[in-house]
Amino acid sequence: MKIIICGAGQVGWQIARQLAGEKNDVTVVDQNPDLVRRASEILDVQGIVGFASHPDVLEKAGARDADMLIAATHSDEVNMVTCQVAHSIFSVPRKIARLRAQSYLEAMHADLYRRDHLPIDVVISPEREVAEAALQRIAAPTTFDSEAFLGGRAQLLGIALDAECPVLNTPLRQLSDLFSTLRAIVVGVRREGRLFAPEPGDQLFAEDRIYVCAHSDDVGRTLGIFGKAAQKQERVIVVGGGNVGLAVAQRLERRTDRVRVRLIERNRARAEAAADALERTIVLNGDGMDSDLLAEADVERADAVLAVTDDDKTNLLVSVRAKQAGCKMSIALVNDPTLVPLMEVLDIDAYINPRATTVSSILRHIRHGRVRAIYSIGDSEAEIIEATVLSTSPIAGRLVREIDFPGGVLVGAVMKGKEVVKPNGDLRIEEGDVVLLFALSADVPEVERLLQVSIDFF
Amino acid sequence: MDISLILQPGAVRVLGKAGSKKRLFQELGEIAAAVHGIDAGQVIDGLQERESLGPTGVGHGIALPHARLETLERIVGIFVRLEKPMDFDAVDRQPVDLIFTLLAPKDSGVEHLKTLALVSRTMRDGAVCTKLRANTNPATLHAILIEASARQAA
Repeated sequence: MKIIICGAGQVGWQIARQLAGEKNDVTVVDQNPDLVRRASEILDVQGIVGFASHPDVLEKAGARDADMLIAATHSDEVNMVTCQVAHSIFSVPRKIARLRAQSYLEAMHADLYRRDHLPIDVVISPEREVAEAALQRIAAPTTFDSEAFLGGRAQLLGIALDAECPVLNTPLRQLSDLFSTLRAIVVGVRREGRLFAPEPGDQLFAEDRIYVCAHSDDVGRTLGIFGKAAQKQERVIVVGGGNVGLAVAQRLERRTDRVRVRLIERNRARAEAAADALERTIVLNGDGMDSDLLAEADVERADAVLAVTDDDKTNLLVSVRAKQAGCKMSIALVNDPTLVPLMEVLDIDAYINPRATTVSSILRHIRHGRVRAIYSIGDSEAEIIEATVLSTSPIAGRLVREIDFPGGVLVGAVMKGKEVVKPNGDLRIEEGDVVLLFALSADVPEVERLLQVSIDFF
Repeated sequence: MDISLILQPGAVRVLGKAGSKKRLFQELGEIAAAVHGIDAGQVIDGLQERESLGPTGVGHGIALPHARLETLERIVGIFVRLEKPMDFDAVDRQPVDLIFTLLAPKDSGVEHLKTLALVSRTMRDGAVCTKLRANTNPATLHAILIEASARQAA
């Protein structure tokens, strides 16, 4: 696929890295010659220096042949105009824009982003998605990752197993027999850094970090079985009062179960703005790394600290310091995926990676077949793919055990009509079913092939 | 049923090259508009949408893109030979130079599937493809296709 990415900043760069890595023909456009040069040197992409929305620049970037354009410059308005130009002059079929201003995001429901108005197919808002992810982590404090699928009827849970986990050293096959009514499947295991799809004879060990697909009604039971009791989050400290921190604090205030939130922001003006925007939250002006300030925020008794400043290293260190001071749990925002392996060493309980959520919403439009959602796991090491089974596809009408899935692929759940069922070898996949698949990156092309329709699909 | 009913001589073209699937579909849209008076945009969207569900490159340099369109009244075909083969994500990963496009009405029962099967059988004949690749005159290409499909139908 030929893809043009406008803006080689944090978001554009990560998207370019991912898409070029999947053998797409990627061209990056940015005003900054240094960034463009760096992108074409380090990533397998072509670079064009210029103003993204200018027709001559887009022409040079190959817009006439492009299948997709992703506008991820720092300006909402440039992103909007770029999509319009790509549509009107170059008939680029798919246009994705990054928009940050709340007001533009609210306009989404007002039919603004339609072909005959402002032609943007997908609006991505990393800040909003990060805030969402942060809330999910707080809601499921005993998981290091969690994401909803199948219209909220199934949940992906990332669980770090410790020595107290009651089901260690037992083959997974046996677990299925022991808990025959439990609608949950272990789809991925990370052991000593390596992620793999477990086989029925595999056992789980302490220190494993596992991914489980569970029916929404069985989430509590699933967590219990893997040794994680439900916990209440009553006191939360948010460090960083930017867009993300503010959005998180606002959402926490709106929750019915009263959560006490303290927000720490270094910049005085921003701290004051946050204090105005929030009602019950106590805003403290100062450095989140400062022990005295953390003590003032009552870190000792806090259930969770959420470090969401714009600096990865600050977020890591704040998390460590808060844990050391007695906070029960820490969650850090981390942009650089190479820092993720440090989490375990630093005893940080969960992390949020804005790239993963953003890349996920873009990948959905790249994959063949009728893909409804994609969630990228770890440093793009695997994907959870939610897709509708179409007639004539190689899996339609076949039993799960008859399907020639590659070794790195597992079926996590199947939705028939509105009913989510736990898959087993004897389950027949039918046209119209929605399947939730875990696939290691190397096996994604084969999964795509299995989801594609055959030539007779007319 | 034979191909002469759906393939008009004017809908057989020889093109130098197509830079991408997108450009090819745009060409096909324009041919459909010129020969059959169908809205080009609708054709392009339809073909692109179908292609995104699974590529229509069937191997051996042949692609059979197809789509069903709201406003169409009968099945129509377009044949394009490319002088320079193009990448098409085909099943055998080989570039494609013979492209037989089918456009069908939304409610065509099973007629469109029969037509697709006939076109597919016709194009699977290696001798026919060799002949198609050896000629550049659209009228000759049209005659080769009609003659070959008549043999298939018989």
